[in-house]
Amino acid sequence: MSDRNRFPMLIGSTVVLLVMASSLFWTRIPIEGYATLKETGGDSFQFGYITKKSQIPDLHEWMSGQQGKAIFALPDQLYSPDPAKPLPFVYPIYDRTRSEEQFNQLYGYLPQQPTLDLGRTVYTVDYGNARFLFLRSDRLEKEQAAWVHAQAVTNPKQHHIALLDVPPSPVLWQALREAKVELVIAGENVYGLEAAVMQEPSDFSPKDREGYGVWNPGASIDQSYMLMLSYQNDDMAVKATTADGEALDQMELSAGVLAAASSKETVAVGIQQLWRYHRGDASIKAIIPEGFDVTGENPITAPFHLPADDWRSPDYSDAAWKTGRAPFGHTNRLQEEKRLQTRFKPDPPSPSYYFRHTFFLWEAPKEWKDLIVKLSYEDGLILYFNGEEVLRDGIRTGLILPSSLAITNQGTWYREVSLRNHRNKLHMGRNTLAVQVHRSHPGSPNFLFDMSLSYIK
Amino acid sequence: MKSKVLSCITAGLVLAGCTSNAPPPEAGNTLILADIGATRQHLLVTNNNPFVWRKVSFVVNGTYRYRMEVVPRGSTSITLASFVDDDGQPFSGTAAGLRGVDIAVGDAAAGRQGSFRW
Repeated sequence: MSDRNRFPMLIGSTVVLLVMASSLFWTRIPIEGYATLKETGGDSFQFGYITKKSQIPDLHEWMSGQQGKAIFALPDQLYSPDPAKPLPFVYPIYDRTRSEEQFNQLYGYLPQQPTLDLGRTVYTVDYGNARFLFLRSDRLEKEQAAWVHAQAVTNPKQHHIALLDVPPSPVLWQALREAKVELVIAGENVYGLEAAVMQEPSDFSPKDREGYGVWNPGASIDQSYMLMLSYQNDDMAVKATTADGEALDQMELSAGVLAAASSKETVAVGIQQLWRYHRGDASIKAIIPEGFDVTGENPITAPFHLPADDWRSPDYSDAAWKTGRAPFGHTNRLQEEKRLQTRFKPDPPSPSYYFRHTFFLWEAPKEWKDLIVKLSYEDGLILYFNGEEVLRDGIRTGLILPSSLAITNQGTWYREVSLRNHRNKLHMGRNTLAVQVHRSHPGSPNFLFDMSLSYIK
Repeated sequence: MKSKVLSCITAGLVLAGCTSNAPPPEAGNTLILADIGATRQHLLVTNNNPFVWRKVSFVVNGTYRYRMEVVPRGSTSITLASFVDDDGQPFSGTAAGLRGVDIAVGDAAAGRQGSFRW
């Protein structure tokens, strides 16, 4: 009997192992580094704007090759569409090169606005979480202004972008500004709403129009270029690129910053600020105020006064405490570790750390509509405004000592909490934030703290 | 080394699973409800009563003492090095060396005393 017949299982297993092992050679397995969780999600888009300096020899053919990768806009004069092969992802801007009738006929795939008597020359395109408003500058400006208002204000899209052949009239500018249209592309000029501009391009002139700064990429870029718009959630980038995608210059805008600015949210204490901090130990003195239920069953109702040596008191001297920049903590999560500004040693003798931060307010809090804190912590924390407790989370009610353990929690980064009902605990002038943060276990590998305080008038 | 690790794991499992084996409280005393746990450096005590314990004395292995004026509800961690004997020598062992924990509460509910033995 041959060996093949005597040991079929052994031979079969060996063959399978060899096939599996050979995959190491014909696949590209990672051999160094570590896996990181890339934050993705939300909508995103690629939107190209063809400029006069794009200088693409056969535009129709080139754009045909881009189908499925991006959508495009361009002044009508730059485009000679093939009526037999329309490219429905190419959106022209009416510039009077053709008559309105010719335009309507040539671009039959464009949407028509029944409320405006402008055929297909004024229209909207929704793409991802953005709304593009294609306008014209020569007719019915007041009607277009009202239409812009209706489109942008009543529309929940995150980004609004307007496109015209030349800068619009003052009436239309005002409508765009009021509608907080972030980006206006008019011919070769790119106008960014200054409240939303996060990164200016190299040749950016602020306040060219009220509220808008202007960027003319062609003035500083000698070679051919086009504009590529892309966004990820709140952030939008406008890049001047070559046809091959090489970036030459760029402007970045943020709808989130714009939303914050429009709501008049003022930051009183920012994130990543300097704080005084101390490890929780017997030197941390905290009285039990009269009327305070140590079991935590009943809330304290009567006002109380903290002595100056109580760590929560605004009068407490924290000069002997260390100073560090938030976020504080330690973690075994690699992608979070680099976000920490002050790193604590893991496995300390105490499960808690105490933090204090003093800041000034130049306005009376009672005038505010809202008071917002954004908290990063793990596992539990108690927050005090000028010695009075305003927030407790992840830790039980009642008396808490430096040795007390929190409830096990997933760490949270900048969780937003409204403390509007505690506005009266802050006042114009000097204020003190005091925070105690506790682990859920003395050997917990993770600890985190940072916070901001802002208000809306 | 392996035996030390095994001892630590065994001690941890035993401690984590243990609650009171004390007899019912004497007449007039308050029943103390507690959980005892330990890490390499800490004794973990959980006050499961609906009240805080006051004037609390902890004794580890019948020798090493630690006092707290108040022990709130919930879990508290105490470093093992905080426990000292009558000569002031700290407990130098780890969780594996824990053989017993006695808790004497001088003022439990309504001023009555209470105790707990692990």
